[in-house]
Amino acid sequence: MRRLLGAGGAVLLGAAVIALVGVGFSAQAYSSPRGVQKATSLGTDMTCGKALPHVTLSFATYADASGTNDVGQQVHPGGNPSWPSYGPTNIFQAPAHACVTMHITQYDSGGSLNNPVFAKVQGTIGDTESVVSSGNSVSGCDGTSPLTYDGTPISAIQPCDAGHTFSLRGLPGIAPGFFVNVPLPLAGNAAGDNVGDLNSDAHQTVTFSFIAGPKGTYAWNCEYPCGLSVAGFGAVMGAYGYMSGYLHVV
Amino acid sequence: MSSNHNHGIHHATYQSIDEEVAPGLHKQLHRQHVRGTLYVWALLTVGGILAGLYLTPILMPHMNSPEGRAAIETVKVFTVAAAPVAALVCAVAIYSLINSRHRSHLDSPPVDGPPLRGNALASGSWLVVSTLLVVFLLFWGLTEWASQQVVHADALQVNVTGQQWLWTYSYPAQTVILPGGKTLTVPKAVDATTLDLPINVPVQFNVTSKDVTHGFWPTQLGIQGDANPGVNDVLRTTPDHLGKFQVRCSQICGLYHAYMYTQASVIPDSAFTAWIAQGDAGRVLTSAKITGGVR
Repeated sequence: MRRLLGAGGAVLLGAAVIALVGVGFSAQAYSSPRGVQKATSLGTDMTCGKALPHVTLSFATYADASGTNDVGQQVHPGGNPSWPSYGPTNIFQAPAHACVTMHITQYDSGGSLNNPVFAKVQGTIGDTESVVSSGNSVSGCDGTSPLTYDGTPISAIQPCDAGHTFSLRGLPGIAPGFFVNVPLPLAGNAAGDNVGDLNSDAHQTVTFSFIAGPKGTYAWNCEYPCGLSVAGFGAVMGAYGYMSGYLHVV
Repeated sequence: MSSNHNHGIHHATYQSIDEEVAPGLHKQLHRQHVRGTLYVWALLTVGGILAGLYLTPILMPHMNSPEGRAAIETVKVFTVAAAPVAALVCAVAIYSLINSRHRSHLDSPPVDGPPLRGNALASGSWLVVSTLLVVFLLFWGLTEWASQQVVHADALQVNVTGQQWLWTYSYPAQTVILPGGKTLTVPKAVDATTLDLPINVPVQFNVTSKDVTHGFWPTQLGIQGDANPGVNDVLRTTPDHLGKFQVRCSQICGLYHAYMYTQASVIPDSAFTAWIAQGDAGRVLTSAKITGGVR
């Protein structure tokens, strides 16, 4: 009997250790050394077409993960200088069923998407985004020079003018049909530039709103091939915390 | 078997039982062990067969196509066929653990039994049964596979593209003539990030990838195929039950592989026609919906 108990105990101990490691990895994946950015409340309004609590989140995409932004925040502490990164964090938090307005300041250069589908806006209010350009001097792929936007709502960009995308999906069991895709047009700053200053660096400010789903964790990533190796999805795209993250809906 | 008998076995070698101590005792013990093992085997076999017959349909998800239901039937048949074999392995292990384990640290460990050689009945039975089982499984598998290779002259074409870490679906402009002469028309190409299929319409998936290898797995259609870059993998099915399910990636494909899934639905063909003609705000993107301008 003692042996049986011993064997059973050993199996249970092994299972507990495995579970603990799993929980640890999971907790690490859902947290960020850069912290969680909580949405700022704007009260209740009609931004999303009906009276809803309205919150806002502002963040950016940088060409150089090792740089600092205009308020002195490090984009990605210890980040690789030749990798782009979302910043100042990749984990966001917003209330359930609220109207969420995101402002993404896009500083990075870009090119063609692997799949033109991701050049289209979807899942936002009106399936549109608005883009305001500042200081951009690079040309668009159709020869438009410089590639600038005036804030008029658009439902797509040219697939060859992409800098990054913000592609957010709900997960099974929480919000299986939830999907938001927002293409971020390119700006004039190449990888390795230590940029991120709103006053002096070219950027595209992308604004869009959507209605958050039920409580749970949603995953997002960039669909622009901004990494190396296989189809541009190696290196930074395979590293957690740069071009992907989570939205915690609480 | 009494504990005295066990002690006798532990303290003597099989050789001494066979040749020196008690030639008849070994035969008797041998029969006892075989009988005991057979009891455990019979019990486990019955349990395995019952589990195959009654647990399989409970554990497997509801299927929305004949291919899916054929997959459940195959799992059921294979489980039943494998039950006696698995039960034999488990029965020997369980019986040995119960009757021949080293009971006390004061005992010397039991000596290994003599190798089983030259038993034509045992080896012949093993060979025949194994061969019959393998031939049966091969026959069943090939028959099922052949039944799914039916190419419908008219099938709804859906181009499936996997890329890290999302699936996208493209419905080319087409007219599908359904059995009975009815037609289903996709007037203009539609791109979507969800998979919607009309009920009782044969579908042909043309599966590819933009980057690494992914696995296109509509979980409740009973089909699955690799999405390889530069390759068109063709999969066919006919959804015949309404319902929602998920499309998952079945090949580990990188950082967000676990999140690479989309919602899929089998809907009435009238709803499909309306959906394909109008798009679905927030889910489906058609070029006609791009109204705000493109830069």
